[in-house]
Amino acid sequence: MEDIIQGFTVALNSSNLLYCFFGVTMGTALGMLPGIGAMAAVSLLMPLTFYLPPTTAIIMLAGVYYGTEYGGSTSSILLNLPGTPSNAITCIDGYAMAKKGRPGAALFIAAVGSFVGGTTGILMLMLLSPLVVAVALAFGPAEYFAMMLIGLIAAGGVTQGSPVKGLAMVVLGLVFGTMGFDINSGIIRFNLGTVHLYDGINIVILAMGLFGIPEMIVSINSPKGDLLSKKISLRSMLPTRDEMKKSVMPIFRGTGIGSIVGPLPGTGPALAAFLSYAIEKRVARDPEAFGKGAIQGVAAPETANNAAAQTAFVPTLTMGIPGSGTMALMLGVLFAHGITPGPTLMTQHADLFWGVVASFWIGNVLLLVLNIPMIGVWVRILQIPYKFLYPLIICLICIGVYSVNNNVYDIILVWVVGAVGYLLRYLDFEPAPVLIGFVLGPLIEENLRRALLLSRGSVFELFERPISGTLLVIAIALVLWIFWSESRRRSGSVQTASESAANS
Amino acid sequence: MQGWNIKDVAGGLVIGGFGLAFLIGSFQYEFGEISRIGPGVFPMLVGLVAVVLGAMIVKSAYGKPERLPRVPIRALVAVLAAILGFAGSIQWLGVIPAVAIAVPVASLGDRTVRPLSTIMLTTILALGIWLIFSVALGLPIQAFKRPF
Repeated sequence: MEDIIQGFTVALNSSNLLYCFFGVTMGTALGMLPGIGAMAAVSLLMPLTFYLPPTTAIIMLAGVYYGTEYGGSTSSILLNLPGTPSNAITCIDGYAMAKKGRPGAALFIAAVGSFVGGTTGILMLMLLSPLVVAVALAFGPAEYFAMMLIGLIAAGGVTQGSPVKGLAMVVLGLVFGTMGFDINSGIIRFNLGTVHLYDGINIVILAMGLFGIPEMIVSINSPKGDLLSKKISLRSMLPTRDEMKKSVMPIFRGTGIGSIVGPLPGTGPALAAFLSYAIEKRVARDPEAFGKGAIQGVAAPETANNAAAQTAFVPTLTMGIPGSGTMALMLGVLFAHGITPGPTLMTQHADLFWGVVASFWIGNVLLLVLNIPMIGVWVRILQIPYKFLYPLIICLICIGVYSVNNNVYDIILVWVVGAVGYLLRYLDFEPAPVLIGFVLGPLIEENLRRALLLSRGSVFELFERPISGTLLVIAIALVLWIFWSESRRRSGSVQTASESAANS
Repeated sequence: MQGWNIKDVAGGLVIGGFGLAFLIGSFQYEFGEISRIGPGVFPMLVGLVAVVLGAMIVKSAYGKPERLPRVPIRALVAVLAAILGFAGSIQWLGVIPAVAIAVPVASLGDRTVRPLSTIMLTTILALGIWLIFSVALGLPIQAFKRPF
């Protein structure tokens, strides 16, 4: 207990507080710029921390990290441009809410949900670290494979239209994910003969091309192209009581999912966000509202992704195992300061550990304080006529994409992806599941390979292990349920139902 | 009702097409054995699933004829041309000319645009973007490049 108090003392020291504030502000600002996500933001600001004491360095960079999750939701809701991949799912209902004239409410709920998710995640970190670590250790490749399979299938159901189309998008993402360097075999796949695709399609390019470009083409010249031409009162910017009531359970559930998924190495805020959206849609009383501006569709994923981002620090700090590339960067910072994270970190560097944990609390409060008043500013920005806004967005996309590698080829690539993305959108396909498939594809392949390696080729063993067996059965049940409800939806006739049942 | 929903037929074909491409392409990589799956296995499986899903979508397109929606040609061309313009200019001319080209081209996509507002917008955006990305964030992007 006294460790915690000491932690707050460390975190509240004026220099740490200042750097925390700087970190979360920069994180929010950078997270909002499409094309710059958590990893880019942390790497951009990392050099600033080399001459700081280690506690301060981590406090600042952590602030940048979870700050980007806050900022990313802003551009997702206002512009349908996911600031970070985990915000792609927020685009769906968040942007729909903006078009309906309720962007302020969406931003508010996103901020509140992010706060709740982040702070609860910290509580998990503080109280349950050993337990969480034990669970994480029980997850082997077979379990990861099964869990990700569920995530992928659930992602298919996330779209408004037919789940078959949603699944098709997931599979498209999987297929794009195979392009590039294969970590398991060391060869390069599907690079279409060009050296620029040695690493496959960059996720920033994919996101911009699938979300940003088609959205613009569709929105220019549309009669509703000028969003919110009405005057905005303060009350209309905040959620109604009904909206707030509806958000409570999704926030609660999102926190749970984020806190479970976050500490698992190899998963991250994106998976947490998608899973919680899918679950929300399943348990909601009005699932048809999803995709058209359901507040639950904003509350749940935003909470989950912040909870996951926060709890991702658990394996990093307690075991020295980075759950993601960004966490690896954090580890690198610690190493650069001569600190080796691991089980001994909590005891040998208690002030660092608890100081960082306490700063998470403070950082989340700062973010809430920063973001809520800004809602008015963002909503004003939306009132700019679209014909002035979208050239700016085009430039932002081009610069964002160019800044990844300083390579013109990337801009050409985003052009190609944008054209394909528009074609898909024209044909009534939704882009969000592609990102899920794209991110999870390499991971699921790697885990499948490892699982089969460990079981010496026995697929049955994947079912015999208790956790993965259960998850796999759930996955299969999900697939069957999707096809069954799809056939029922199509027509009530017995013939069609039995026809589809025979096919699946 | 007879007839095909052309949109869904096209959609299914696109998905199936991608799937087939990757499925066939996967054969140039090794498959290995079940205990050590090679790089070709996953793309093959996923490509196959894509082909199946594409076929399902095409099949479901029967019996629901629907007309193809309008394509916003002007916006489509403007956006795509602007991006290409940006790509071409930034390499040889720097970021400010790139913005100066991309913004007017993009603005043409909107039917109600006027020259004066476009010029103002271009100037503001060119300077603003340069200030934020090159100066404030320190990204290695040059304002002007001499093409020779």
